[in-house]
Amino acid sequence: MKRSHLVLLLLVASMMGMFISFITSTSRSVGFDTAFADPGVEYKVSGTLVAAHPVEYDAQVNTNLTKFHLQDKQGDIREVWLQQSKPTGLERSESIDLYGYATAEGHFHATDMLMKCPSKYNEQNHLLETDV
Amino acid sequence: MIRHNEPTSLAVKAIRAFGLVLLAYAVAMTFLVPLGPGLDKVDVMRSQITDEGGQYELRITGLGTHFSTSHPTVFIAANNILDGKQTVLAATQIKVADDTHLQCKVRLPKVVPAMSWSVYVNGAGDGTVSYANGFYATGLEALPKSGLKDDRDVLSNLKEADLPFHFPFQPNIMESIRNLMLHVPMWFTMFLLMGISFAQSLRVLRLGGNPDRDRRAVAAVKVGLWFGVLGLLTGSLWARWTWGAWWVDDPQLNGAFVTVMVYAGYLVLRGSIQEPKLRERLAAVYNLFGFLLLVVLLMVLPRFTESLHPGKGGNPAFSSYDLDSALRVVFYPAVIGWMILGTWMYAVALKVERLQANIHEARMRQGTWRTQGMLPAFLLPAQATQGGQLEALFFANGKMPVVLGVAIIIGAGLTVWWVLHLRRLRQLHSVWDALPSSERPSEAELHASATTPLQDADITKP
Repeated sequence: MKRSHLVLLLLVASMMGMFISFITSTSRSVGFDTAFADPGVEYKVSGTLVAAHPVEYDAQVNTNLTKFHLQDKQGDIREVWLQQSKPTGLERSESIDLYGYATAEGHFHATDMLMKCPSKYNEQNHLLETDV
Repeated sequence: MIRHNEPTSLAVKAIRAFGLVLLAYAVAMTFLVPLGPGLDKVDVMRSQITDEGGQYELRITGLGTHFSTSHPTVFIAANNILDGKQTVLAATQIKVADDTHLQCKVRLPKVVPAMSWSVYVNGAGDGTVSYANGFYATGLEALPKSGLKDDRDVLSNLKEADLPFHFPFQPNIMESIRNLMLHVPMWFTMFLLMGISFAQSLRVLRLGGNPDRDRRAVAAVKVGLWFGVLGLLTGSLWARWTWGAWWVDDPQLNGAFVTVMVYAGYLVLRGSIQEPKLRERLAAVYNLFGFLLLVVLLMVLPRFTESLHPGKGGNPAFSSYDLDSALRVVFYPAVIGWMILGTWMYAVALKVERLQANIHEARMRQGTWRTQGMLPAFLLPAQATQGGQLEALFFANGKMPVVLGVAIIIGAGLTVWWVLHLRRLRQLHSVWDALPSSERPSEAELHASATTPLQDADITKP
């Protein structure tokens, strides 16, 4: 095969790769505004736990219900009813992905939840800010 | 024909021995280095709310801590929303049950600066360990300007950490941080092997002719795929006990899966073409696309999308893992060790390919060739299924069973590979030795084709 053919082939392949990255790079998670504009439809919402509200879970009442508040990336805060027992380490999670739908009552009903782990693997002492 | 029984040079042997030493060191360190101390759980055992405020009894569970000898002090801190400053409050009546359990009391006024408090335990040796948002002051009222007395002086005499060589404690990840040395090098080794294959395919297209270049490309892909599958399985197990799912619809994970599928497609494509020259060229062209797809899907794309996988929005290679120095001195040797083992396996796979080809050719001369049972491309170790007891089992001991599971998958996967290949190699050698000498090419013939490159298949050349 001639060198020019080879270069052309590699060019086509890299263009295909760029095309694929272009079409898939749009993130699929939405904010609460989108989900609540469309109640009952399944969405993925990413955000962080709001510590100012409690994480409510009572195994004696319902082992499959955990209530907490999530702040999405746009800053909207909504109550979440997660249809699972309280996940271990929820309070110290870095970020949360929820799969579920908005309800007419105003809370987000999550059927599934994923927690992002710390991605920097170094000593993390959570020391007080004023210490530093 | 090509020599398949070339002796391994001393230099190569030395490199392999070095690789094995690195691997032995890395695996030993992976399991023997202790994890730094951390907090596992904070439970409110009892609470009493009066007009004056609330009194709470906390039970704190540590992991790898030394409460009984470290004389721990406990304090909690809340972020003040107004000025961002933290209010610190010391706990009282600390009762140590054992190294990993203690109880204490905190007394709060009716109005507090924030509802959610982080819990800290400081002790000699362990230093300060914490649980973010570990305690929620149920029944009280949050007001930024609460005027709560601050026990800041508790911070002035904190004891320093004095720990042996250890891996950092990370919330949620805990002991499974050890998987960094097992799961991640699988992918590095796969990149290397696919890179070797890519280079050989480029040579096939550029220089053409020599079927040995094609064989090199195939051998590298076969071994690389094995590492890719082990990477997927170990990653899946790790994800289940940290993120909460066996598989996540995520650019990094889907990219890895598609890449493995693309390379499986490479083997299928080769298997479906009978004509050697056509097969060689088509497979090489496909391989170029495959490798570029690998680079895009695993290295480029995850940087631009949100992902649960570490390395998101940055370089998903070495530097992105903001690695602790303790992890680095194990991780880098592990990567190099696995890579050397990978190239060794590539050499074995190549030997199998060459021997198979030589036997095939020798039989063709006599016209007695018949199809032989070929080595299965790869076997997938069965994946464990989810169950209620599994939950408790894998969460035990700071998720240590996850590390064992990952190690078992890799160990079993590689053992199966070596057993299959060494057996196949022995089988092929015995077939070769049993061939009548009239069928076997002379030593000179083997040697000649191995040293002089074959002519380009270009039809313009004679």
